[in-house]
Amino acid sequence: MHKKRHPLIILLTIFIFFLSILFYFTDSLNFKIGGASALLVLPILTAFSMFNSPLASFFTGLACGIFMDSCMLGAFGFNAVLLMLIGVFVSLTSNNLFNKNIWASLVLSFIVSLFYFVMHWVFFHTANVTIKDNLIYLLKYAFPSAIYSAVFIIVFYYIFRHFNKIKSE
Amino acid sequence: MRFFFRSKQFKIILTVFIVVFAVSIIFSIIGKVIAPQSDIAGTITAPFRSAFTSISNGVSDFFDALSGGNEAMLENAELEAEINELRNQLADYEQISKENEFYKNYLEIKDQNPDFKFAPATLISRDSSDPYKGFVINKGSSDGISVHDPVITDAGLVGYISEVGLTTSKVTTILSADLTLGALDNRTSDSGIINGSLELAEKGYTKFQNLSRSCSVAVGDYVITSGEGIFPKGVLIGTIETISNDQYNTSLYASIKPFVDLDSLRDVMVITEFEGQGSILDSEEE
Repeated sequence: MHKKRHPLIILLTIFIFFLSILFYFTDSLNFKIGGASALLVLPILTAFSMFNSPLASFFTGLACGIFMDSCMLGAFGFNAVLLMLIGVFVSLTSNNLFNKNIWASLVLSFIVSLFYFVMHWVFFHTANVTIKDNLIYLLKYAFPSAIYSAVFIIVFYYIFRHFNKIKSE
Repeated sequence: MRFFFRSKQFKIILTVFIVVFAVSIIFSIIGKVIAPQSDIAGTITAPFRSAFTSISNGVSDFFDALSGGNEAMLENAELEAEINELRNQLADYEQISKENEFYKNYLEIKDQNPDFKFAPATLISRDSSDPYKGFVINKGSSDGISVHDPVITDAGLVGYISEVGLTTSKVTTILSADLTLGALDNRTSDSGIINGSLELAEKGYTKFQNLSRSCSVAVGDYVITSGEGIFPKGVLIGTIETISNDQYNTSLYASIKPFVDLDSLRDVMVITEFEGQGSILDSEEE
């Protein structure tokens, strides 16, 4: 049975993604705690993918990733590749391995955030800085940012669950 | 899940993934050019980013003004006490005046270098994931900007263009570990290399390294570009804050506080042309 598409929900979803990326790349509005800054697009994509098909999650991840690549230094498609993988991974695991509840979303969000920031560290920092700088980046930026980003799933899980209910009605 | 891997959905995902992955690999090998998909996205979203940055700057200014107001009230209470201190400082006026004159000469870098051609640009997004404070500007190859063009403000050196798109460009700052440039102590002419580190970037400083142990650099000296590399000669970089031995005790390094405040940066100038530009790069290619 096909779910009815709801144009307002689609627009709102696009707006949430767009705004989250703009927030991240405009640091005067970006709410940082020490070195940690929340990459909101990760929990949003996780919440979105939990309630959508792998194909929809894949293309949403791709669109967000391309947009992020245009703002990030030396990215060359890094975000596009990573976010589309994340979208498919979350959609598949939440449909086949996990129940769709807040605990599953927290676990998935944490896995996804950790994966993203570790990959970011591997690709952008390991090669061109000293061991000491690598440790500083991991402990002061990557891990705190992953945890900080992951906790926002609590808000977005309920938003997308609500959207899903409206779509299903 | 096994049905998924046999489905049409999976085939579409796999095809698109391979295409995007291949394009990403190709452009990461070429380097210095924004990948086409990101360039298109960047061009489309540039006006939105510009508008959002203006709004965010406005919000930031509003809160700064609010906190500034509170600070002003406190400052008023302390002013009387400061008057006495200021009288003492008048004695140092002559010395400060000389320093200002010295600094002013360097701020007028444009007048002194008629060969410079500038392209004014505005910052449209910051890379929050970059601890070296890299950012994106609203000018690209269509405005005559190319890779390695120096980026400055009236206060001094900001960095260089590391990637160019059609209407946007990415700027790597002087705090970055990716940047290496020849520099001089303006007072003593001792030469060294500016190369950032994450440890210093956290404090907003960069590193002036490979200084000879017999050099006579001192805290408070101005550091300028030496003209070796992609930057023109004589552009202000910053002041020396501390001097230390390197880890092998073979040379000295100094931490430099840049003249440019990278956190509050909004408008920059890209030097698109200057005398001797590209000569080092050309000779490297040969």
